Amino acid sequence: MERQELRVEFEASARRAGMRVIAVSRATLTSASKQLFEQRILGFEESPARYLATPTVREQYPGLFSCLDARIVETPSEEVTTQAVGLCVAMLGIAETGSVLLAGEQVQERFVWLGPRHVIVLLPETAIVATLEDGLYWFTQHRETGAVTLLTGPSRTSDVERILTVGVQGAEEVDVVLLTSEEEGEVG
Amino acid sequence: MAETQRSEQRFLPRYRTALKNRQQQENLLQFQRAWARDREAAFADQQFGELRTRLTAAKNQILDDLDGWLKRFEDAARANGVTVTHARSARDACEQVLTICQQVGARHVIKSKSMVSEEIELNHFLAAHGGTAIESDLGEWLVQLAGERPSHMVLPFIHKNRRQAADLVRQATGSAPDHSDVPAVVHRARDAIREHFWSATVGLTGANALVVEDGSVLLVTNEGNADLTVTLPQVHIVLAGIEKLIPTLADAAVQLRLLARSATAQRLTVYTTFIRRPPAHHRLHIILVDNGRRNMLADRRYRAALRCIRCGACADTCPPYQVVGGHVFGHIYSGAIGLVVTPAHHGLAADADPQSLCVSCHACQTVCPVNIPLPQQILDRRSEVVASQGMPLTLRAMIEVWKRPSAFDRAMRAAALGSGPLRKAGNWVDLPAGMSSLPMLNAQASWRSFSAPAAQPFRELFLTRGRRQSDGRFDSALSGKRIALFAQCLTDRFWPEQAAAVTDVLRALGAEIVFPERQHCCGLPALDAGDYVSAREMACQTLEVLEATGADFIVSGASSCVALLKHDLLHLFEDVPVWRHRAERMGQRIHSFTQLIAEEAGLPHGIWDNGRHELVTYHDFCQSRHVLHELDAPRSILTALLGCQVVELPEVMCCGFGGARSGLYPEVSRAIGTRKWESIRQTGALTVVTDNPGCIAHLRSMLHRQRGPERVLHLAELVAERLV
Repeated sequence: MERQELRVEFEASARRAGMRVIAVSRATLTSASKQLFEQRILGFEESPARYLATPTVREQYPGLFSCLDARIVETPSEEVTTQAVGLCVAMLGIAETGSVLLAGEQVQERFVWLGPRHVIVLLPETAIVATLEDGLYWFTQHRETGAVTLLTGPSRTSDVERILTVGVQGAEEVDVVLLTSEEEGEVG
Repeated sequence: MAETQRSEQRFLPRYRTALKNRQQQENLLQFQRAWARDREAAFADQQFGELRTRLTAAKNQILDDLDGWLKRFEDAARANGVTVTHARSARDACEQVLTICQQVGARHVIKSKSMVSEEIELNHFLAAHGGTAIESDLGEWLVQLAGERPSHMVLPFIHKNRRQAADLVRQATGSAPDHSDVPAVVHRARDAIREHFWSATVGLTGANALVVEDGSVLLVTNEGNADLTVTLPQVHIVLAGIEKLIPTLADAAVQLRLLARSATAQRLTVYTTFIRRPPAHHRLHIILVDNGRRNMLADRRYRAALRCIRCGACADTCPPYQVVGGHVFGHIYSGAIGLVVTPAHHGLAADADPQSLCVSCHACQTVCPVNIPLPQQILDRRSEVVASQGMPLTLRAMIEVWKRPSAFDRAMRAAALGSGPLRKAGNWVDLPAGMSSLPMLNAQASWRSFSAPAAQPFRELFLTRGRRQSDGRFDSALSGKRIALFAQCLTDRFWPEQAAAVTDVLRALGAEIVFPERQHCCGLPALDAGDYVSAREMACQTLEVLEATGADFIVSGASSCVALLKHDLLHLFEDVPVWRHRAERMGQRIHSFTQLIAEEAGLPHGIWDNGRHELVTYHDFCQSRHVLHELDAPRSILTALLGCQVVELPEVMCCGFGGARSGLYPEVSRAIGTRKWESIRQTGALTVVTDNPGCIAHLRSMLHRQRGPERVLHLAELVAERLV
């Protein structure tokens, strides 16, 4: 499948799963200011109290990590989590399900996408694969990775009278920032 | 016996309570309807049959060499730094959990949903030893607060309503939003549960699969509670049955495709996590629980049940489950799979009553993502119950008469005579108002009329109508063929007009009809009752009689008997090679009326089209649909040969007859029948067609009582109308 087709399918699947998908060029993100990232890219009305990021964000997107004054979670707690936004990088996107594959077994990684009510996932467009099998093949090939989570939307339950409630134990909002190689769609 | 009595005492109050729980019935009804629709949509882009063949093969691969695969999994998991132990019994598993907790000084355990922990009653065990287990799945937490067990494997709180949820949250937290605002109630519960994640040292989960290839544990949830359970506490315990293994991650992908679609009609659950290693400075223990599973593995009747992936689909499509819920239809494991596995984990007595609710509609096997022969296995469990505890006296007496042709004949003739004073037009019997107001009779008779035996059984009609030769009014491939009619014992005695219609149609097509006079009963009533000994005896007699006909075809208008002769006998005679061989040969010769007309008669389009395009709806007899797979045949007869306009029923489901079940559990039968009639009336058709006398009798019995405008016909009767 062509990259463009994969992207179109991923975006449709992810939106169906309840995630927001925002396309932005990698160049724009790399040079983004806090204001640009929050207001023009994500459309935030107010800045969150803090950003909790995975070590991978710091390694791969140091400019963004720095301008957002993001923190690595050393000791997770409810206080740290309150009003924080989680920021992480997906290894892959799965076109058929709209899932993002988040890798890592350490608490400081996993808590970033599990704890906050709002999670932002950075996903390079080139990391979109077609199927679930493709995604799990990545895990097969990365034996050093202790755990992976395929996140497919915000946390949800229908346990009470089958009424859907979003944001139960995990995130209430999941935004996928899709990093493209072209100048396009900075404002999602 | 004392154990049985205790079981019955527990069951009947539960059953009666469930019948009054309108909230549960409404919740389950809405869920079943939505699930059927959404599941179909979720599988629209997948090949369900192909996927289930692949997953079934993968699970069978494991079961064929379970010890070898366990060894490989343990090696892989240990190489990841995981501690793996085995627990032979429920107590052993509970003690291992307790020991781990004591080692780390933990008194509180946070849990995500784990059916194995329910199976071994871990929460009670920990409480008895001074500990506390807190459920973190919202529904499980609410059920725990209510002091109950989950009533559904995927939707544990479905038996309760929002007001009860708000009350429970208020009791637990001191405050709760108004019950009308369900999301607010849920978020308040979330905050309360969050506190436990932070305070717990030990987190406990089940496993959706254990991947042998890399020693990883698969966990799926929509809430994310399992991920928090394995991430925040320093110790993670996985409780998993030994059958949870899957060879590779590629096989796990197949399981995921089937699991989410089957369970909740999603493409994938929100959190799908594979854990190979615990976080730094954390520990991961996997306890592999036997607790009766090896006994199932060694018993070829139940071995396939070890393929189960706990999706709950068998409950989601089960008509009696919708009426009584999982606290009645099952023990700790509910739904069809619960009726099969309960004896392995909790003893036969725990299954004695719940298994008797199954109507053998076979819908569960059709939707099962690992093709477990659940209806067959439930009947096998029923036969075990009957062998060890006997059957209800009335049923026993009935079978004893039924299996003796002469005694059955006398009983039917006596009933025909005795019902005379109560008999109304159409052989209907309504109990006098005074009698039907008695509670015991009210449940049976307030909502339906009863058929009385006909004054003259078909076997006599066949003689008095003369051994007429075929009239051959219509050219067909059956012209000149000799066809033996197996009328079915009940049709013979109660509804001879249906057998007469079959005869008239086949004669009109030029066939010679023979009626083997020694024919009696195929054995289905005994099989349904779990009396395999009597069932075999009756089946042998039927096989001998039908084999002796030397006819080109053997046909029956009773598809239930055809399903038994084609399929059930192969299992019934599994250990009797001579009879199994004879049953196989009979299975090839016998046809339902529907199949014979559609596939063998070679009739031209529109042969019986009267030009009126009658609006009809078709009720698939459950086993015609799920066992004989006769879906197209009746519809092609109705549309292509008769020119009818067929409106499909909005719900594909049982009519509520279920053989003796309609007498044993009339409330369930009534509820399913009511649901069926609601479905029928949504079509706007005034003619309901089917091809099984039991369904016809049940639907007519309700219709007669309701004085409804519709008519219910055997397909042969509708065709026979067009012959004149």
